Amino acid sequence: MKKLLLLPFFAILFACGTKENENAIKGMQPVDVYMNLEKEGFTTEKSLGGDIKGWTNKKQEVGGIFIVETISSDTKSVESVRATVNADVGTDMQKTLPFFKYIASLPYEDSDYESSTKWLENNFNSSESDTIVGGVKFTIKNPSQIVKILTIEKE
Amino acid sequence: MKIQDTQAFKAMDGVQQKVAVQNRSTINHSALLLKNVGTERWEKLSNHLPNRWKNIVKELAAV
Repeated sequence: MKKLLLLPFFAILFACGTKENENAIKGMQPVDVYMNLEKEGFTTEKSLGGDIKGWTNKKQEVGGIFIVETISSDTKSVESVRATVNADVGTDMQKTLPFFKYIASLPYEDSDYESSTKWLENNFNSSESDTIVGGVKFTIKNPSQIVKILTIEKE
Repeated sequence: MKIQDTQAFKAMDGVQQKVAVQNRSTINHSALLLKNVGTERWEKLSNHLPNRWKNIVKELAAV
């Protein structure tokens, strides 16, 4: 009988412990992003101390620097990913398309590789453009001739 | 520290605060970028950010 009385207590405890991050992209974890990038030669810096948790991947290549930041309010989910290329003057930015396509193809629940990469190809040089694929918003920005930014976040 | 805790945010009026909160993802990413690439490169990458947001970013990155 005592065990039965404890059941609601444990049910509430379990529900609290598994509270979902409402701002998170479902089906994506920080490790999915930074480990895959490490395999591509990126370094990872973690900033996990404050209210906002962050993982920064960087890679310096001939032609510019490639940066990917992953952000969340906890360490198990991803709220947004932002990829930035800061190219050297004179670099052909079209050559950075494969990098951005790689980031746009990171898997999550209801992701659609073909839709997101097709949109990216069609809007790669727009000053600013966005689309929503599977409840996730993709935004591409070209604030200058040598800076290109792709942001992926919950709609 | 959250965006709402910064002095730069508190100095904004209600509408500016609302816009900043709506763009918290951009501001938080920018703070992380500033921590990791240094001021010089961050300035180059952040020309498009409003100055008010830059002040929030600097406070967040300093923590």
